Amino acid sequence: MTTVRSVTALLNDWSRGDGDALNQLLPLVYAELRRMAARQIRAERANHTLQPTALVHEVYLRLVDQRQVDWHNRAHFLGVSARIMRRILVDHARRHGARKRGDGVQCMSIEDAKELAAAPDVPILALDQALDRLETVDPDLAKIVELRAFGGLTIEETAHVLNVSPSTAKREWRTAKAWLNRELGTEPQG
Amino acid sequence: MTDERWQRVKELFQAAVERPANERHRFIADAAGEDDALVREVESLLASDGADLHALDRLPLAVESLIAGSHTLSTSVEDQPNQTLAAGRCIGPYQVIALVGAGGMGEVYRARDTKLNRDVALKVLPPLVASNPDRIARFRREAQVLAALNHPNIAAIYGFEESDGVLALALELVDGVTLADRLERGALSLDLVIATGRQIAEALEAAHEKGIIHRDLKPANIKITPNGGVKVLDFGLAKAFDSSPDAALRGVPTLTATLDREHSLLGTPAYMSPEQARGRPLDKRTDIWSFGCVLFEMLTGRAAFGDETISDTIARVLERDVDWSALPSGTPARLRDLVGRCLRKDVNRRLRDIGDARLELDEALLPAASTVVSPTMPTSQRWRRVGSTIAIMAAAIFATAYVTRLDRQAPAPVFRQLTFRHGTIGGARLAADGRTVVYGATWIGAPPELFIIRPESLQSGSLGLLHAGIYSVSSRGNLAIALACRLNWGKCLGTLAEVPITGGSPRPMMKDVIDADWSPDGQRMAVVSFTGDGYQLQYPLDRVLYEPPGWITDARVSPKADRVAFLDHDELGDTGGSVATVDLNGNKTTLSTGWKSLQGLAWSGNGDEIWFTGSRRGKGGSSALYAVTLGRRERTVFSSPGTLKLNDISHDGQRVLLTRGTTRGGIMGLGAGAAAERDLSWFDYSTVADISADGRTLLFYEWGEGVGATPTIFIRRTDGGEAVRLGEGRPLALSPDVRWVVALQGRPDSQLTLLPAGTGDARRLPRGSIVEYLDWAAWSPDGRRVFFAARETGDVRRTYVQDADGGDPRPVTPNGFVGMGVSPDGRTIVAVDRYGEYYLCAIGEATPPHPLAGYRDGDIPLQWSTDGRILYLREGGNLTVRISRLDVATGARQFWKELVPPDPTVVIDIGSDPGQVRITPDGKSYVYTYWTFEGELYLAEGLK
Repeated sequence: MTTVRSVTALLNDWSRGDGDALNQLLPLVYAELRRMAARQIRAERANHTLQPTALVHEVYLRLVDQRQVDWHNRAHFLGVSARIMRRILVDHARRHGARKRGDGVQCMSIEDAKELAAAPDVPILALDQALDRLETVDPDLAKIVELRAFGGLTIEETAHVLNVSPSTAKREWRTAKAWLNRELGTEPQG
Repeated sequence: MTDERWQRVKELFQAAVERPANERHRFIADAAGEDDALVREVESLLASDGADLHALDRLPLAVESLIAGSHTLSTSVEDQPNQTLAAGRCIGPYQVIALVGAGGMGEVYRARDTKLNRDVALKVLPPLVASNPDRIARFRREAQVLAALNHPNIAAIYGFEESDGVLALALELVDGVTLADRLERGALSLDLVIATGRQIAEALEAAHEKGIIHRDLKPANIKITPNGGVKVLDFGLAKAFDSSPDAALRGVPTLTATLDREHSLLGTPAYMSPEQARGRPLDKRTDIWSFGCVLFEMLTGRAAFGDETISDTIARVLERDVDWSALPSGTPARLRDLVGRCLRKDVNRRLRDIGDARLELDEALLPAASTVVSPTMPTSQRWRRVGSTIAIMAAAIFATAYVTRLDRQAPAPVFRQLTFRHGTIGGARLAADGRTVVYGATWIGAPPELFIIRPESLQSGSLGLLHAGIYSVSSRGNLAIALACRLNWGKCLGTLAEVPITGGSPRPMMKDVIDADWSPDGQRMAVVSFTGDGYQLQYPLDRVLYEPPGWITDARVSPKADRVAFLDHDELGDTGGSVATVDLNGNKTTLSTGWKSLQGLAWSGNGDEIWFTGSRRGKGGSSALYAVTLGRRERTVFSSPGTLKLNDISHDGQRVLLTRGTTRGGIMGLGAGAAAERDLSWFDYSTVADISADGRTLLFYEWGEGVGATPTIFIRRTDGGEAVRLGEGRPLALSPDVRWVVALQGRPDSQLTLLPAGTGDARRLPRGSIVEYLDWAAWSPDGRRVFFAARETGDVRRTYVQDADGGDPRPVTPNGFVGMGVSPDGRTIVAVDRYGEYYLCAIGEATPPHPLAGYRDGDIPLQWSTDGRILYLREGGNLTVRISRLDVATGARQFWKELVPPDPTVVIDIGSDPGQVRITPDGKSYVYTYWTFEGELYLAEGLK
């Protein structure tokens, strides 16, 4: 099917370094993610497959022609998804961030209240900024965090995406976590 | 820090963590030598090592809740909240204006939404509810579901607010009187009964479609607005406010919902269905009963089952028939019949679908012309009334004549099949000559491609455009096509391009387009595109006319070019929704709602009607061709078995392009002792749930046309024979003795239930603090306990066990581990974590889950072998079922078997859910589900 081939082609282009291909992939994958999520909530389906990882895998199965791609394309796709997840979360946090601080708004909407309640658990903006800093220090580590934390990839998948051995990926992941832990511990949380 | 410096830090850190903790400091000191800064740097990293990053670990869940749009938040309730709110107090964005009523559901305030500058009704929860975290959680869940209801005849729920311990529900403030108030003045006129009944039915229909049951429909919950509109209030609140800890009693109506002080204490069960009065599980038919009560009362001016005391009323509901003689003599037979079908005490004989009631009411309109003119009216009014009566009669006569003419003259339509290959038709259009057909098709094994059929040849010829789809053909012979077409629920999402029908190279115009249509003069174009955030309809290209909350398809410019008709799908990924138009100023008008699936729309030849294909009953089953006028008069043009999709209508209205297709879910299986696979499909959406260990009994469910889209549980012997219906719901597992089925029943709040496979009573398992059941369950080998996956308050999913005789559920796996299979000795569960990795969890032991060795990405565990040494795994991929045997102890795997469905060329999916392929522990028998789709294009003449 077509869908399929164009996403496959885009993945190939992206893995060859065509940045524009990524921009074309993002809306596609994002739309599909949302569609799948919406569909899964309604349908009598495995609720436990509504985990981002499973979701991403399923979206991948739908968008990409299994017969046409190899493992590396799959890995690239997971990389794209991780980037999207990060972007979605950060945009979301940013959009509601201003209101959260209560700039003179007397009454708060239910959305804001949700944000406020959810905020202490996941300091997304702080994490995003810390990741940006990590990227200047060690881009590979930043990439690992994006894949593992935002994309929900396993160590093995992460290793494939980055083309390193799983043991290296595991070591790097541990290092990245320690670095971020230290960084976030000293930074005021946003 | 320089790059080099960081590399050194990292190297030391990574080397250090490989060493035992007590040696690390010395190792760093030795390795760094004199460089104190380096030592400090590495040490500070080490100090941050190990402690799991809370934020990182929670991220996938945050993403999940974000995508799902359902947030979970912790609740803190202060002691003894002050329930009476002073004017001026803020609850969220709402500022209290005044108390307007009080009842068992709490107090109701008029409040001002300070953000949107509108008044709302604020229902404040009683302290009893507000102090119980479980109740709050449940209420919040209900409120979220209800907030999804968006319909002109339903008073909207804006949201759930929490502020300083006060919990409140913000509702649409509806002006007007309640139907109960109105009925105190006596019966309604026939026209009014029909107009009001129709709107109530529409409201119920919209809610039922979303799986929401009102549970407490009664005249006091129905408001008539000053302009004659109807708003149904308090949808589903009976359940949300329910205080019964026993789930079986859920949904007993709020006897306290009216604001009348006296009634607020007792209320009336007069509108309660018999099953409700008995405390039985409810489905949407309980609303149909109540609807019948309301209809009866509107017609007669008195309650269908009212009596002096509550117990007498309940006795009437359960035992007595309504007094049919009370119906006015002028009540049309159809209406009388409708009330009768709504008020059948046996729920299985009752009207099944409120949509049918709405259609009946529509049809009952014509006899309304016989309304007698009251002689006591003042003359002028009488004349006006007579005038309108004459108009109605004229319309009736015209309509009768029209129907008669149809009966007499309409020739049977003629269909010519245009395509013959296996595959899917993406879209098809007629050229301006009304005879040339351009269509896009995806044949099995090939990419989407554009074809043309010229009237002189009748043969399909390729246009030479691959990965392309057709949007529209202009009157000037230009094609609007999709390039780089990605099939998206049967539609091409791609780059809009223009190319002459005679050939040439396409000129790309716009990205991410899902539909496009030329204006009649071929000068302008209506386009539906995806913007990255959502969909939008533009017409002409520089003007956005509509941005839907969900998505839209099939935008078609009217023959007069004064509006665009389209299918408005409420939810992303769902084909249900309504038929609507938008004028050139962006004013949207909904013409027909309540469709469970809709695909394909076109204007009739003269532009008086919009024709469309869809189904009100379900997604997979038959859909028919309908027509609706701009005045919302709806009729069925043509129906046939299978799924119909309207592609186009010629300008003269003579020819109609239709796709007919069939989606099927089938079951294949190898039963005990059988030499070959057997087709075990029953209806159209047969889906496997389980097979007994002896390979003789199949547990499955149907959820397509055959069961009216209501998931229904069946068992059947694998050697063929009749399937036995066990009830509604989603089955999960057969007990080892094949006497019980564990199933999920009820929506949206499903409940774990044990259903007898033979005789016996169904039993609900107490849910304890379970908030949500997932769709996996298994029996312990002795058949005494049930393992299942579920979620308690918060984000935690895990596996639980519960005695089949009852008792509270107890967790058996750590948080985040969801069961997928129980070993034959009942001591180990194979479970999946939130990253999709598999573990073995020892039941009842404190040892942490042990990673499963030897599986590959995409594998799905299917079954343990009889000796517990082997796990059968299904490999990834949704078009094949390759099964391997994994040695649990060693991680060694061996290919075992590949299942190949019959006629694999039309298979679109094979049981992508884990439960849809099942093997017996001895490996001798198996069953699986597969999905097929086929469609063909037809040209119809003579459809009217």
